[in-house]
Amino acid sequence: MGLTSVVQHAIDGVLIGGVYALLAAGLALIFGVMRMANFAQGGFVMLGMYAALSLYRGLGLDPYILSLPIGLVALLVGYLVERAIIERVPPGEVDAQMLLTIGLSYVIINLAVIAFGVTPQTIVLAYTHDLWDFGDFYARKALVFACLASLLMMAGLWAFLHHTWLGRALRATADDRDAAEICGMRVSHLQGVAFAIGISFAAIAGALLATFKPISPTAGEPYILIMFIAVVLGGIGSIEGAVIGAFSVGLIEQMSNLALPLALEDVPVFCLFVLTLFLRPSGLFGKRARV
Amino acid sequence: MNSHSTQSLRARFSRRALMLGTALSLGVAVIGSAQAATPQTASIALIVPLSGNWGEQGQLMREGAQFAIKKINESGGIKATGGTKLKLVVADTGPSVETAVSAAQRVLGAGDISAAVGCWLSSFTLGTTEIAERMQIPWITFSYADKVTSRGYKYTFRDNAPSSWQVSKGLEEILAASAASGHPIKTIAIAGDNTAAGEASHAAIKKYAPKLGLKIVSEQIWTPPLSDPDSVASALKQAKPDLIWGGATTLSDTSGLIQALRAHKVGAPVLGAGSQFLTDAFINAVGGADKVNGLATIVGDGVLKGMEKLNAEFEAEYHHPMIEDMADTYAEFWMIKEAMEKAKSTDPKKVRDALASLDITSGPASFVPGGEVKFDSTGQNIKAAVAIQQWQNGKIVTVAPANAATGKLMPLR
Repeated sequence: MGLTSVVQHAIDGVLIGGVYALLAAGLALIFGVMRMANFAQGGFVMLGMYAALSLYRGLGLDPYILSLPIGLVALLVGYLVERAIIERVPPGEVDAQMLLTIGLSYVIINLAVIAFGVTPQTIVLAYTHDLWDFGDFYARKALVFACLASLLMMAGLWAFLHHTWLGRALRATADDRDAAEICGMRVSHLQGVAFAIGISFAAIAGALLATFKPISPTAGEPYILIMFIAVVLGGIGSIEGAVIGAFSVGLIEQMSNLALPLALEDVPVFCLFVLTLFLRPSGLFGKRARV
Repeated sequence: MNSHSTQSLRARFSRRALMLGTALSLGVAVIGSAQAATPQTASIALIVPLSGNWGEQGQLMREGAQFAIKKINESGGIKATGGTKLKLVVADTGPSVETAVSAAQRVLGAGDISAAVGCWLSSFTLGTTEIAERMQIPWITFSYADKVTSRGYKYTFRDNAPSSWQVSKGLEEILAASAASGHPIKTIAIAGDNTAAGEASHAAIKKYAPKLGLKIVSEQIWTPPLSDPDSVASALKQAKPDLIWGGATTLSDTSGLIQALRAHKVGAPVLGAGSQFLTDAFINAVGGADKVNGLATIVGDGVLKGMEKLNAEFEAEYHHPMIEDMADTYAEFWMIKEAMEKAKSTDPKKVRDALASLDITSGPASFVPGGEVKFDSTGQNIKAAVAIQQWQNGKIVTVAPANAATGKLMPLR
C-alpha cells in the first residue's frame, strides 16, 4: 500500500461521495420534514436512469441536459405520489409508512421489469469510460462530471432552503411540525413539496448515474442502504450532515479496498453504521433530542 | 301376482341387468382404450434466473429449452411411451440462492415433474440440486463448479467440463498456443467474483499454476456486483500480468471490467470463463464486437462443428446465434428425451436410472464438446471436452476442442 494508492483511493472516494451526497440529500429532506423512511427512493433513482436512457435514445441528448426536465417531471410525480398515496397513512404510523414505501418500491421495480425487461442496458457516451491521467493518478471523467453536478445541486438546495420562503417553511416544518401548523403553514402541502424534491433529487441522481452505471430494474437498490447510512451517520433531519455522511461513506468504501479484499469492501461502512447507532444515534450533526 | 308372473319379472330384470352390465363394461373398455391411445404430456422444469444480475442468462436458456421442446415434440415426442409430448415448466430462481431454492421447492414439490434443468450459476445450482436430490427428481446442469457432482448425489448430472478441467486443459491449450505464436504466458492475474464457479476456478488456477509454469501476480476477487471496476483495472495494471483470468459472471461486472481495462490501457489479454462474454447484451455494453476482437472464453458448449444447420434454424427464429446457454440447454433436453426413451417411462426415478446408464455418441443429445455423453457414478459426463470460443471479426468462433472447432485460435487480445 503506497502513498499513490492511498491518494488514488481518496480521489475515488470523494468523487463517488459527491454522487452519494445527491442521493442522501433527497432522503434527508424527506426524513426531516415527514419523519418518514422512504424505502422507495432507490426505485425512483432507477426510474431516473431509465428516463435518461429512453430520452437519450429518442432525442440523442446528453443525460446531463436531460436531467433537468427529468427532475421537473419527477417533482410533479413525487408530489402526486405523496398526496395520493403516502398521505393516506396517518402521521406517526411508522410501521405502516415503512411497509407502504417498501411495497411501492416493489411495484416500481416490477413495472420496470415489465416495461424494460431484466437485461441491463448502458448509455455509452464519449466520456463514459474515459479517464483524465495526472501522472500516477487518474480520475474517471463521468464520475467527475457527476460529482460536480451533485455539488451544484447541493448548492442550489442550500440556497433554496435558506433564501426562499418555501425553503424556510420546509425547515420550519422539519424543526417543529406542530408549531409550523399553528403558524398557519399548510403542513400537508409542505410535506408533498419535501417528498417531491426528494424524489426529484433521486431521479436526477439516476440520470447522472446512467452515464457510467448499467441500467436495470434493480439498479437503484444498492443505493438505498448507502443513502440510509449516510443520513443516519450525518444525523436524521440534517441535510448538511447527510452530505458529510455521504462523502464519509464514499471515502470509507474506497479506502477499505486498500486493506481489505474487495469482497469485504462494505464491511467497514456497516461497522461504522452500527457504531454510530450505538454511540450516537442522533448522528454527527443530528439533534440529540426533539422539543 | 302369481308365481309365473314373478318368475317372468325376475327373468326380465336379470336380462336387463346383464345387458346393462355388458353395455357398461363395453363402454368403459372403449373409453379406456381411447385414453390409452391419446399421448400424455411429461413436464420438465427449467429453473433459471429470469431476473436479477443473471437474468439474461436464464432468458437465453429458456430459448434453448423452448427450441428443444418444439423439436422433440415435432419429431413425435417420446415414442416409447406412445408419443408423450414434453411440456416446459419455467421458474425464476430470482436474484439469490435463497430464492432459487424456494423456486425449486415450489416447482419440484408441486409434483408431476419428470426431470429438471438449471440454473446456470453454480451457486444457485448447488442449492436447487439439494431439493431435487431430496425429491428424487433427476437434474441436468452445465454449471461449472466441481462441487456440483462431488457431493455423492445420485440425481444430479453435468454434461460439460467442470472448472478444474477448464483450468487444467483449457488454460493449458491457451498457453501452448501463445507459446507457439511467440508470446509465452508466464504470469496470470485473477479477476473474478466469488460465486461458486469463480471460487472453483480460482482454486484450480492456484493448484495447477506450478504445473503450467504460471505465477499468479494479482488476485482481485469481489462479491457481485462489482462496485468499482476502475480499482480492479488499476491494480491489474500495476501487476502487469501476461494474461488475465476473467471470472466475472454478471453482465455489468463483465462489461464494466472490460471497459475499465481498456480505459486504463491494460495491455494483458483477458481469457474469459463462461458464455457471459458472448451475449448480445455484452457486445452492446462494450460498444461493439470490434472492441473485443480476439477475446477468448472457455465455455461449456456452443455452436460446434456439425451444428451449423441447427444454429441457422435457431437464428431464424430467435434472431441471434446459439451460445452455450441455448446450445447446452438444447442438448440437455434431448438427453432427457433419450433417457425417457430408454426407460420407456417418464417416471423421474426411471428417468434417473436411464440417464445414469446413457451412452450417447450421436444425435442432438451429443451436441456437447467431446460429442459423447456418458455419466460416471458422480453424475459427471466423463466424455466432456473443454470448449473455447473466440470473437473473430464480429463472429463467435469455436476454436477448441479440435474435433469440434469451426476455426483456429488467433492471438489473444
